[in-house]
Amino acid sequence: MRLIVLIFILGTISILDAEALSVASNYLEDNTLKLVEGNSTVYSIRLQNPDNEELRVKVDYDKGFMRAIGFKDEYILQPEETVRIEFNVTAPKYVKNENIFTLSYTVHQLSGAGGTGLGFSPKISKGFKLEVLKNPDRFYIDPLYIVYAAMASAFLLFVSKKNIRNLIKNRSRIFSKRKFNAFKSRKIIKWKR
Amino acid sequence: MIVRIKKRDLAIASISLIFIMSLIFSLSIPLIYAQTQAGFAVWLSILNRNPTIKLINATGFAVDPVAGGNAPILISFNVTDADGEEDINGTNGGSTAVVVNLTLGTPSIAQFRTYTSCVNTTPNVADTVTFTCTVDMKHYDNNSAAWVINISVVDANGGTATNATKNNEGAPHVFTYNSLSSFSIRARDVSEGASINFSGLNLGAQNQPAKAPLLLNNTGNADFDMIRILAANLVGITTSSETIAASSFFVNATNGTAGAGVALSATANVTLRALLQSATDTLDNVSLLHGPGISGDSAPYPGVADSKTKGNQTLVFWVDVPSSGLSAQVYNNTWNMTVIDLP
Repeated sequence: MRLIVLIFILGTISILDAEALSVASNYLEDNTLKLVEGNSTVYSIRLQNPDNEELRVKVDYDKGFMRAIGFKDEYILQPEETVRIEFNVTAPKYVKNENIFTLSYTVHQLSGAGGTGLGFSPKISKGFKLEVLKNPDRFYIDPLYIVYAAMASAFLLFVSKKNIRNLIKNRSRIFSKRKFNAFKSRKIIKWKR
Repeated sequence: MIVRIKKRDLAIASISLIFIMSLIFSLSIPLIYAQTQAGFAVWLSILNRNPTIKLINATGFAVDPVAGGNAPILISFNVTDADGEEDINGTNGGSTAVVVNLTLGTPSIAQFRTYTSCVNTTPNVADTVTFTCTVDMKHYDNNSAAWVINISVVDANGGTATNATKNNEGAPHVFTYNSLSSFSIRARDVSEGASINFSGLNLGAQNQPAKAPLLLNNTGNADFDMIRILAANLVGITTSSETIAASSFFVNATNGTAGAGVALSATANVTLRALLQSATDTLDNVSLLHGPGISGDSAPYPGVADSKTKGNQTLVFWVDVPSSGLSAQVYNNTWNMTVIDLP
């Protein structure tokens, strides 16, 4: 007879109630924040607590082009409360074809309804694009155009040098020919007669 | 008596007669015409003049959706009727109608929210009534900066008016409905809160499902493109040295095949993939789109035939119980679940 080991495993990943996490943000067309190079703007998010229990939340964000204003390590939201977090976003220098960046932030729930244990720690990670625009007051030169210009200059220089060299090389022949031709003119011929 | 008339004289007489008749006829035309004009009279009696509408709260405002609920949007406007405010505030008898309609998109597929029970307040100036309407926007209505405010008024005598464009420049009155990334987790169909529970398992049992799947509800209006889980080994509550590896657990979103799905990990975030891929060379993620889902709502607008299937995502968990090294006790831990809204 086969021995059946009656071992029961109660593997629970428990949370007392539904976990919920909410973050509202400014509407962006195509999810893209457009900013002229060197300029800054305020982008804000609003943490919401839709539950009827206190909510503790932590926020992480890309610090490359964003700086949070009055940032806290932890935000405590009372039931139905909304907390606003502002980020100062600064556009870097405009570089052609390298002017779109992805910025993101993550909202972590540290405690939820009931607060006595967490099975799942919900997180929301949200990203948006930062498109750096040219400064209309600045003059931009495409590096490619500089290369083209250099190549064109080199070619012209080469052609003109060759012409000058030829001119110098054949100057005696050219001038003598002219002289010869001049003597061959009709007027001179007539005068000679 | 025989009168002899020369042919020439007859011709002259005939021509003269025709000329005189023509003259008389041509002179009489204005007279006939004048008599015809005088014979018709048109009387126009204007009994009612159409009202006019002017928005009070400026357009261009922005509103945040409320997670899993309604965001009230207050629209306030003046309606002026030259026939007196009684013509539009309902005291003059007849049936008046004041409707505020918030729309997004082209008419055939537009999303909209309508309110028809606007409340009139005390008139502040003669012939003018101020109306205040609160339109509820749902959490799953699309985020956009192009929501248009449309107001229409019918006065007691059937005169109608719609709100003029912004500054009468052809641009509509618009407002912004912001983006809300929001979700909740709970066990599906059981009242166990947000938990997954494996119970009554034997050692070595394979492909054992959780007591109830996990239900993710999108309670906002942003779409989540990815769902990631960073699991952890389950640790025995009584004997903490006994653990069940995170890799013993699997998760899928379709419940098609017992035990099928992606294995979880304690060291790396695992992205949940669709069990059935659209092609052999694709890697379709399990997503969490916005929509009414199982909230019981029926979106009134067209173009959302599949909206009932959006707004929620079921995750089915499975476990392969190790065949040895475990005692009968409760094991638990905390797992991280990240929903990602890619740019």
